[in-house]
Parts: sequence; C-alpha cells; structure tokens
Amino acid sequence: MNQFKGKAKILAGGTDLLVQMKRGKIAPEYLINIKNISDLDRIEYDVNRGLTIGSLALIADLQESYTIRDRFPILHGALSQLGTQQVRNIATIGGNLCNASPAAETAPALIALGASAKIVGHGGEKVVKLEDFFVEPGKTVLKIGQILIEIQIPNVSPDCKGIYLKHALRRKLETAIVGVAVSLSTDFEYGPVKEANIVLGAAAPIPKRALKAEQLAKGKKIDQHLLNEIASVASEESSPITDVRATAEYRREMVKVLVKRAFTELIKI
Amino acid sequence: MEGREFTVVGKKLPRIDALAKVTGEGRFISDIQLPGMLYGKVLRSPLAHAKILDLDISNAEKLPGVKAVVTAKDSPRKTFCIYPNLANNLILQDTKVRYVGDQVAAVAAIDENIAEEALDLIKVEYQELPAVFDPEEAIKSSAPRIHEEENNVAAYIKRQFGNIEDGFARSDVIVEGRFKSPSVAHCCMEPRGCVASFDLSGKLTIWSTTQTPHSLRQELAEVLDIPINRVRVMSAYVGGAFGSRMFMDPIDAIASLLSRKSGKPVRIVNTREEEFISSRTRYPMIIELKTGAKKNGKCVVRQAKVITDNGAYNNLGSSVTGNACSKLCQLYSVPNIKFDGFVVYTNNVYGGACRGYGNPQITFAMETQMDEIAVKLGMDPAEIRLINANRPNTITVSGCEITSCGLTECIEETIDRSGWKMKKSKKRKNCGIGMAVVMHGGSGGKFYWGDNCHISSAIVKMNNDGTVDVLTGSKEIGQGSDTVLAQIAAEELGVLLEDINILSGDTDATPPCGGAWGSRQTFTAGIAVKSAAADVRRQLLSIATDMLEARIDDLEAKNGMISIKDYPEKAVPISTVASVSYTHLGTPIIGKSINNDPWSSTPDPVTGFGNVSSAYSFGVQVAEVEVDTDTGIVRPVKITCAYDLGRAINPLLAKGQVVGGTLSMGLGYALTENLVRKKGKVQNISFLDYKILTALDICDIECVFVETNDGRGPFGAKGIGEPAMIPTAAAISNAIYDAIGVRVKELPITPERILKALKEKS
Repeated sequence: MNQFKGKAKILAGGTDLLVQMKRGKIAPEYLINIKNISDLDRIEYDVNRGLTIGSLALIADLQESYTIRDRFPILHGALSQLGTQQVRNIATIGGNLCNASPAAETAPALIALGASAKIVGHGGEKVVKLEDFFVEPGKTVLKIGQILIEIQIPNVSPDCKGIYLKHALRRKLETAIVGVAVSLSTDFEYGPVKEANIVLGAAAPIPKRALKAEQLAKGKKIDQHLLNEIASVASEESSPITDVRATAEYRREMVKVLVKRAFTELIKI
Repeated sequence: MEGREFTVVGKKLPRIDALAKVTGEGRFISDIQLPGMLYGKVLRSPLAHAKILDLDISNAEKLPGVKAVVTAKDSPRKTFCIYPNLANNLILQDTKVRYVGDQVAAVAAIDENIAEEALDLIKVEYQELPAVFDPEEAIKSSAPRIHEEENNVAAYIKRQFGNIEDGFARSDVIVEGRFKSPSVAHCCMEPRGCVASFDLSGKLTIWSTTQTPHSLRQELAEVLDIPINRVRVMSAYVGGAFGSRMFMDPIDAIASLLSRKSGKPVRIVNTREEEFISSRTRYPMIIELKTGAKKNGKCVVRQAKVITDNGAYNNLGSSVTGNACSKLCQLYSVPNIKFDGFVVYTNNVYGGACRGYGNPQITFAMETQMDEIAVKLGMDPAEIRLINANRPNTITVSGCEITSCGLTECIEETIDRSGWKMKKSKKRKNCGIGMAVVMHGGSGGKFYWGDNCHISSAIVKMNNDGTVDVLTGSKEIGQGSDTVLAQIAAEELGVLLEDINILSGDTDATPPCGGAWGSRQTFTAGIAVKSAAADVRRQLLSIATDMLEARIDDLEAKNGMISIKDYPEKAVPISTVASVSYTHLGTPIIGKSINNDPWSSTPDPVTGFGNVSSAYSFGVQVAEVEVDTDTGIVRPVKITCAYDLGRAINPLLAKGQVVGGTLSMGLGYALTENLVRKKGKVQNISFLDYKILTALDICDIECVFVETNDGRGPFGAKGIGEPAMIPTAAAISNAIYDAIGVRVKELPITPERILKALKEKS
C-alpha cells in the first residue's frame, strides 16, 4: 500500500467497492486483494476476553454463529438485517466498517457493545474504540498502509440487554433510513438503568452515540415521560441529511420513534 | 356457446414455454451471439437542456477495437413518433439535447469495455440552456421553450358531454381535489435491448425486446429510410414490457445504424441505470377533479383539468391523456363531463405506455372521490359503487357501447369474500379496508392513432399428420399470449394443445398484427386465430363429409377426432383427414383471418364521441391495510379482487396477471415507486433506491373471476392485463382513510406523506 501511495484500495468482499467502481464513483489504479490472508476470518470467543472477530469474517458466517446469536443478540440482529443473503454471503465485517457508510448496519450495534478495532500496518499495531474509528462518510482513521484486522467485543454482563432497530420502507433488501442500537443494563426488570448506550445510524455523518440521551437515562427508573425526553434529546443530537431515501426532518422523527421502541423492547416502562 | 363443454379452453394449463424458461433454454437478447458481433454503447447527454455546439468523434474512431461511431450525420435525420404529425424526436440528436439521457452518438466495438472507453473519447461541446422540469412551470409563458413552438403545450384535449353547469346545480354533494401521480419505471426484468444485423443485400434483421414487432418494422423502415420488406423483426423471449416497449426505442435504430456502418451485427442492451434514465416512464399527471352526486349516491357530473408531463419529446402523451378522459366518461357512465387536458413539454425523459395507459392516474382520483362522496352522504363505499355500477348493454355519454358487464357481480363477490361488512362495522385500531373499481378496454381500442395498429391477423396451417402451425403477428412478452392463442386454436380445431406449434413475432413469417398492448391480444389476436382455425375446421369437416357419409352440420371435431354428433363411434381421426387432403387430394389446408375490430371506431377528433373499444373489462379490488402511525409505514394485509374478464381462457395465466399487476405494480405505484429527479437527473438509478416491493412486502391476495361470456370475444374472453393494476392505488388509499382518517392525494403514499397528513389532521 505504501508503494502505491493512495492509488490502491483494499478488496475484501467487494460488495461496496466494486459497486462504487462500476458506478465510476472511484477509480483506484490498484486493488489489493486481502481475501487470501489466512486466519483473518476467525470468530473466537473466550469467557475472559470476550469475542474476537477477524476483519475478513463473512457477514453470513457471523450471522450463523450461535455464540453471537446467544451472547450478542444485538449484533446478531444487525447482521441479519444487512443487505441480502447474496450480499451477506460475500461481504465481510471489516468491509462493512471500513466503507464507513453512515448507514452501515454493524457499526451502531458494535459501538453499543463497546467494541474496539485493531489496526496494523504503518506505525505498528494499535487498538481504537470503534466509536472513534469513523471520521466522515467514506472515511475512517485508517491511514495509508494500515488495515483493520480485528474487532474486539468485551463480554456482555448478564444484566445487559441490547437491540438494533432498522427503519426502512421494505422489510428486507434495504439501506437503513435510520438505524438505532440501544443496550441497557439494569439490576432487575423494573430497576433503574445502570448503563445505557444509544447509537444512531444514518442519522449523522458517522455512526454516532447519543451521549446526552445516554446521560439522561443513566441511574434513572425510566417512565414514559422520561423516555419521551430521552428520545427527543437523542433526536436533537442527530444531524441527518436529506437524500433520496428520506428528508432530514423525517429521519429526526424516526430517531425518536426508534429510541422509544428500543427501550420499550428492552425494559418494562 | 353457452353451456358448451370445453376441452382446452378454461383449463389451468401450464404455459407452453415453461420448460424453455425454467431451464434457461429460452434465448433473451443477451443470449444472442452472432459471429463477429459487436457491442454498442450510446453517448447520452449529461445536461437537461443544451445546444450541441460541436461534436468530435475522431479520437473515439481511432481507439483500437472500435469498429464504428455514429452521430446524427449517419442517419437520415427523420423525426419519429407513432403519430407522424406530432413527430419531433430524432434517434440521434444533432442540434439540441432536451433531457438528461438524450442520445448524441454511439459506438460499436469488439467488447463493451472498449465501447465504453470510446464514449469517453467523444468530445461534445454544449451550451447549456435554461431548463424546466415542473409541468406547471413549463406551461407558463415565461418558461424556457423546449421546442421551436409557440409554448410548451404539446397538446390540448378538450371534451364536453352533457351539461356540467346543470349537473353541478342538480348535485346534492360536490367534492373537489387535486391529485398528483409520479413518474415511475416499468422495471422489466430484462432491460431493453436488441441485436441488429444488416446483410450485404441491405436487409436488416433485428432481434428486439419489442412488444409490437410489426410496428417496429414500419418504424425502422421509416427512420432508416428503407423499404418495409428490407426489415425483419425477429422474435426473442422478452422479459417483460408493460408498455415500455410498445414502440421503437432509439437504440433499435442506433444499433441498426452501427451495423450498417460496421458491416457487423451489433448488440445494444441497456444497463439497469439506462433503464431508469432513458427508458419510457408512466406519464405523471396533476389532476384537478370535481365530482357531483345526488343524495341517493348517483354520480351525475365530473369535471377534470389534467396537466400531463409529456417529457422532452412527443410519444404517447396526448393519447394517454385522451384515455384518461375516456375513462372519466366511462366509469359509472356519468352523464355530464368536462375535460381539459394539457400535455406539457418538460426537460424530463419522455413517457410512454405503461400498464393502464392514463387510467391508473384518473382512477386514483375518481375512486378517491367516490369514497369521499360516500362519507359525505353517510353511505357504505361499497353501496355507492353498486348504485353507480355500469350495466350491460348500455351506452355512455361519450358513445361507448358497453356490452358484457359484470361489475355489479364483481362488487358483490368482493363484499362477500373480503368480509367487508364485518370489517367496516368492527374496526381495529389503525387497520382499514377500502374498495376501488376499474373499467378498462378489454380489447385494445381505437383511441390511439387510427385503425391500422389495431388489426390482428393469423394463418393456421394443417400438416398432413394432423398437427397444426399457427402463425400470429402478436407478441409473447411473458404474459402468456402464445399459450392462450394455442389453447384457442386447439379448442376451435378440436385437436390437442401439444399438436399446436405457434410462431409469433417474426415479421417475415407472420401476418400483420398490432402487437401486445391495450390488454388486446387475447381478444383481437384471439379472434383472428379462432377465425383462421375455424376456416381450417370447415375445410376438414367438408372433406370428412364423404368419409363419414354425413352432412357437414352433423359433424364435430374434438380431441383429435371428427365424429358425427351424438354418434361418437362414427369417427375419423383428424390426422387421417389431414393426410387425405394433403397427400391424396393435393390440397393442404390453410386458414387465414384478418380481424380489424369492426365494432370499435376512432372517436371523432373534435368531440371525442365514439365507441373506442369492442369490449370493456371490469374489476374490483378491496384492500386491507395496517398503518404504523409513528413511522407512517403502510403494510398491506390482504387484497381481495374480482374481475370480469369475459372468460378465463387459462385461469392460471389470468390469475398470474392479477397477482403481478396488483401485488407488484399496483402496490408499488400506491406506496413506494417514484423516479426522484434533481435538475432532471434521476437520483434512484438502482433497485436499492427505486423501491419495487419484494416478496416479503406484499400480502395475501384472493382473486375470483366473473365470467360474463362476452358476445364478441373468443370463447367469450376479454382482456385482463392492464385492469389488474389500475385500481390498487385507489383501494389502498381508501383503506388508509378507513384506518387513520386521512387522505393522501399524491402518489406514492410515502411514510412522510402519511405523517404530514396526520399532523395536519391533528
């Protein structure tokens, strides 16, 4: 990559890259195929360290993992709603993240799970929080000569529950108009919220935590009134655009609706 | 015919091309590979409105692998349109471009990549001109002129029947509204394409995704300036058309030019992106409608002002707008009508025929207002439709002779089958039920351009082993016409379906036919095939009279045998009779028939009075929906339909039409489909963002046929193709009103429009 000085793109699954090239949106002179790097597609679970996913792991394989389904249902939910079966069969989780689409399905779920990204290459090896991984649409913190090799997800405590909700016109085969991932931990069903992660997709230039809304929820017993406030604050924290799929106004409204629905799914209000 | 037992007609038979289709044996355009074939690509305008100052193709011509580059200079520069007096489009533009996607030049090369590269080497110098995209802006005198005409009004259609002042004065209820419908794409599974091949004698053979081979033959002869018999349009399997391939696309002619210049066969197939950018669309309309009714629910007057976005060139804008007017007069046989239709040029892509031909747009408006009137009168929306339903053997104020008509039965069937009364009385929160009716020509019609496109003819040949060849000028485009026409021939001749060999679409071998449009093939081509088969049957029976020593009137042909009626044991196989005729008598049996649809007539050009179609089909759809009032998402739950199609020649295929028309095109038109443009440039150029609904989004459908046995149709049949999609949007819209009390009068009924309407209501 250093040799080609920005003229190269990394090819993993190719479901985003090749489409962009076909449309003439990008025209890299070189493609570096990393598909054959062995061991980058592993899915490993360790009771102490949590889940480690190689960046070349296929979405379909992750979706079929019982470990993910049972221990990280929020991620399973996001994976199941990504693209189509045909896309999931060849798309990789690393590609979904490195493409840095604000609407990427896996990003909000992984951020809500407190995931980190392991980067290697130029300048050695480092681990960054996934919420700090994205810079702007189509751009991550990766520099020329660096690749994402691993996603690390810490264990989820037993009192924590999460959900990813995607809003789109069709039931499947869609890009999210808005996606919301929420994870909450509570001591008991009606108890106050100890920890709250609220992450918005397709509602800002990058997948974004609604930090003020999270603060509002923390330590509180959630009732309908407070939930409305949390949802409104989350909506204010979003900065969506108007495009062919929806207006910014509608997206802000949907952030509210989805945040409320996520909380209602997870805990008794 | 009543009470007659059929052996082939009315049976749920699998389509005769099923095996070829499921195994992949059937060849579509992209499967056609000819020796030395080149690949063509079209250079399209990136600007919506511009003068072409300079066009330099020299660098493209020099690129290795490029075999021909064509511009307007290589063409006879003849304008084309199916109405010659309205023609203002060119296959390659030479002085101006008028929409994003307009074709400027084209290249043929040894592969597609080289052809694409060559397009980049063509230099076009444009001078951008002010453009206009909104027909209501374009109609203003201050708007930029798109053609060298006085203003942007391409056509004005004025119709008046009865007396509307009197009608409104006598009305107890009057409703008024403004309805908008979008530009939508046909979304054929197979993109438009062709392979054109000129031979050394100057004869062109072209395989095309056309739905009207005989019309295309005439159009190509015209724009290429060659005699008609120098053009042969060949049949290939066609993956859908829905009206978009009703007439020539510039690529048919461009591929022909490239072939002539290069001396090689040339294939051009649209990319999906080009399908969205440069293919025909459904004409968007703005409809201001005012309807008046009596206290008893009887609808007595309608007044409409329609503005149609004609797009950049004339095609069928005025005809489609005229058909919208036609339906305004016909549905419910309203006695007082006024219609003002403005067909307006814009710098959008030009529209074309699209399943329903103006009727879905006007039906959405008419059937929404019928609901509104019912609400104002406190009537059941089903009841008001029963009161107004067209009746058999009546004549509308515009001169349409309605013969068979099962609309009342259709309404009653859907009331029963949908559980209408129970669901209207016991409402569930945010769930609703709505009804809409359709009336449409069931036999094509003559409201289009004169009579010659509306003929159908057929030749039926009996071989000496009793098998049969049917030659028809019609076109199989996936709707199943080959199967239906083979069934009609087999039934009429008394032979088995597998004894029929059907050839359609090859213009050198088949007799003239208007082709597949206007829900007409079962009716008009069916009549032609049936009459030609009857001709053959008469000849067979006449020879059999000697063999069976019986009078011709006492004979019948059935299941491959000719027998004396009531004495089935006295019989002779049809194959024996055929062999005797062919081999011993030396008189092969050939039957022919030309059906020029004698019952219909072109409406008077000034008044619009006339019986445009020979038969009219009717139908009803009852839609049930559930609305998410937080997100505005509408989920269809069930659609119950009843259709009067005269007789279902093949109930399986007829149901296929209804299911596809309703659940795919109808629901998409109602809820999701819309070509979004920014300065004339389509923003949703793939199926990711152009939302056709998937199998997961559609709902249950129940469909019943009311068989009225039309006196003119073959075995009583009328068309079903278009009626299938026409009422869905109105039925969904009415169901939404029933669910949440708001009416969205702009299609598609998107979640954002639902939320906006809910906000306005509260």
